[in-house]
Amino acid sequence: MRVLVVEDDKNLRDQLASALGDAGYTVDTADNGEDGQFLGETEPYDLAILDLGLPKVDGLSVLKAWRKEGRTMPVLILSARDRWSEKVEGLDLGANDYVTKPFHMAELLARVRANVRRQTDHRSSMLEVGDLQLNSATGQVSVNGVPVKLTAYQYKVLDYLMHHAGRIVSRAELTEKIYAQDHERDSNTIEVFIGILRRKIGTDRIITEKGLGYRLIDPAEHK
Amino acid sequence: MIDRIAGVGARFRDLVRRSLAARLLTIALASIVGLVAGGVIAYDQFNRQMLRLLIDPELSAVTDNLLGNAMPGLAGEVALRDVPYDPRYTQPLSGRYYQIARIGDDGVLAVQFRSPSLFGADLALSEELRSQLTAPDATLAAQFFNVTGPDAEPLRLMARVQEIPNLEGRYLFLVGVDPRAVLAPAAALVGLAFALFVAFCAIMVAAASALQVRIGLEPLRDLRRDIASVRRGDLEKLADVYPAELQPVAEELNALVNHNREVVERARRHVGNLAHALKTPIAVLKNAANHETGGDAAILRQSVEEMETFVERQLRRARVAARAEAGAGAQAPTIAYRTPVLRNLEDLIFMMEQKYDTQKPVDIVLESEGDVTFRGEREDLLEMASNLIDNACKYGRSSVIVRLVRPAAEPALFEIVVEDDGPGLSDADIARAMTRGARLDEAAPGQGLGLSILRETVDLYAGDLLFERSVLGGLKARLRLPATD
Repeated sequence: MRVLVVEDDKNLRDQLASALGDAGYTVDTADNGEDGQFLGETEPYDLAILDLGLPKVDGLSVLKAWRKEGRTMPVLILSARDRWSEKVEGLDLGANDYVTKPFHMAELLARVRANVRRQTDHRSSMLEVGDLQLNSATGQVSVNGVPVKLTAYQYKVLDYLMHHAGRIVSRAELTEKIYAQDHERDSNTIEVFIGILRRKIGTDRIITEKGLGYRLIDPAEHK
Repeated sequence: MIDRIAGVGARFRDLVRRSLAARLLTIALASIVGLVAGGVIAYDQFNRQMLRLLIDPELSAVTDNLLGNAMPGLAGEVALRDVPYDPRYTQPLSGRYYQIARIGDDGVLAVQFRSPSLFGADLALSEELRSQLTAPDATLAAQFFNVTGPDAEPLRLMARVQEIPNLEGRYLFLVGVDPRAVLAPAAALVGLAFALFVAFCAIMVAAASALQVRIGLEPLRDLRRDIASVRRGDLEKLADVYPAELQPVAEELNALVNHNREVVERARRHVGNLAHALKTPIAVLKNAANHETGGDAAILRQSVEEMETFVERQLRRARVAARAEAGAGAQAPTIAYRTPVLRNLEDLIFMMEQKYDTQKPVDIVLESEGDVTFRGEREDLLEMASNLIDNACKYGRSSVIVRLVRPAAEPALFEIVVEDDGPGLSDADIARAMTRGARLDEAAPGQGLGLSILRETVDLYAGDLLFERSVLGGLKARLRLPATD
C-alpha cells in the first residue's frame, strides 16, 4: 500500500517515513507543496499525509487541486496551525481526517490504518441496502441520496454490517474486525458506534438482537 | 454690545458648522432676504415707469398749451391768451402747477406768470438746477426732474426753455404735477400685489428648503442606519445604494472595516506561523523520545510534554492577544462579523468525532430548533465551542449533547449548551469555575488549560459562561453569546 507524505520539516518527514515503512507501507515523500501536488496527481496512492504549512504551495491549495483533479484517496491533514477555521476549511475541501502537531506516532498510525482500509477492503465499489448506499471507491455513504459524513471507524462498522446485511453480527465479531491491529478495546465502544450510526442513517436500520448482536436491515422490507 | 453680537455670530457659525439643516436653512433665509430686496427694487422701478407713462404726457400737453398761448402783455411781460382749462391748476396747492419766468442776462429768473394754484408762491428750483436751465447754451428740449413742491409735496417737473415771438429774451416754462395724486388710486392695489407675490415666493423657498432638509438629507439618515447595522453585525458591509455624493463615504467605511479585519487576520496568521514553527520540532522531539528507552528517555519525554503544554498555552494566549495587539481594541470583534452557528457546530462536532475516533468513540448529539447567527467572528465561535465540546468529550464517558438554543425571553442572545455524562465537577469546583478570572489549572490540568482564555474571549463579546450539573451526570456548560438577525 502506497502512502504519500508531504511535510517540509526533514526530521519529521524522516520519522514519518520510517514509522510508516516499519508498519509495512511503501512511502513516497515530498518536502514542498508543488512536488507533493504533482506526486498526488500522477501516482496512485492509498493515502496522503499532508502538512498545511508548506513552502511554494500551501497544503489547503494542494488538497483543493487534488480534489479538483478527481483524486479521491483519503487525505490526512497534519496541522500545527491549530486554528479551527483552517481545520474546518480542510474538512470542507475534502480532507478525511486531521491530526494536530505534536502527535503520538501510534495515534497517527492508527488513523492511517483506519483511513487506508476504507478504500481497499473490497473490490465491489458499491454496496446497497435499500436506499442506504456505500461507495467503497470514494468512501462516500448516503441515505436516500443525501450524503452522510462518517469517521473512519464509524465507516468501518457500517461497512462490516452492510457486508453482512440481514445477518446477526455479534459485538465480539465487530470488535475483532474493527480493531484487528489496534490495541485492545472496550466492547462498549461498539455500542457507542452503533448509537452514532443509528442517529446518522436512521434508527430503524440497525436492530439490536438481545444478547446476540446487531443486524442491518432494509426498513422498507420489514414493514 | 459688540461683544454680544460677536458672541451671537460665533454661536451661529458654530451651529452652521455642526448642522447641515442649519446650513441649508441659512441659505434659504438668505434667498428670502434677497427676494424681498429684489421685490422692493422692482416695486420702486415699477412706480418710476408708471410716472413716466401717466404723468409725462400731461406735462407735455400743458407745456405745449402754455407755449401756444404765450403772447406779449401790455407792460412788455409775458401773458396768456387763454389759461389751461383744467380747474386743478386754479385750486390752491392742488398739486398741479405751472410757471413762466424770464431768464435774465445774469441767469436770474423773473417770474412773470404763475398758475393760481401756486397761490402766489414760486416753483422753487435748487441753485444747481437753476444754473443748468438758465445757462446761455442750455438745451431747448424738454427736461424732466423730480423736485419738492410749494406744499412740500413731491413734484414731477417738466422744464422747457423757449423764446416767445415779439418778446425779448428767453423764457423758462415749468409745469409740475404731484405724482401721488395720479398714482394714489392704483398704489394700494399694486403694493398689495407686490407684497403678496414676494410673500408667496418666500413661502415657496422656505417650503423647498424644508423639503430639502427632509428629503435631501434622507440618504444621510439611511447611511447612519446602515452603519449601525454593520456595527451590530446585521450587515456584512455597506451596499452600493447611496447617492453619488455619499457613495465614497460608504466605500471608505467599507475599506476601514476591511482593513480592520485584515490587521486582525494578519496578526492571527503570524501566530499560526509561529505555531507551525514551534510545534513541528516538538513533534519531532516527541517521536524521537518515544523511540528511546532508558532513564534519559523518560526525562526527555517529560520535558517535551511540559514544553508542549507551555507552548500550547502561550500560543492560545497570543491568538487572543493578536486582536488587541492589532490595535483594534476590545470592540473589534463586534464590528461587522456574522457567523452562522449551526453549520459551524456540525463541522466542529464531526471533527471532534474524528479526534476521539481512535481513542474512544463519543456520541455527540446536536440538537437545535434552527440556525442562529452569531454576531462575531467565526474563529472565536469555533475556539469557544471547540473548547467546551472538547472538554465534554475528554471527560464524558461516551455521550455528549450539544444544544443550540435561542431563549424566547432574550432575542438578542443565543446559547450553546454542552453536556456530558462524565464525572462532572464538585459543587465547590463549579462555584470556583463561575468566578470571574478563576483558573482551574491546579484543580484539573486539562480542563483548566483553556478556561481562562475561553473566559477572555467570552468577555470580549460581553457573553456569559455558566456551569451547572447535567442531568446526564457530568458537567453542563452554558455559553451565552450575542445573536443577530
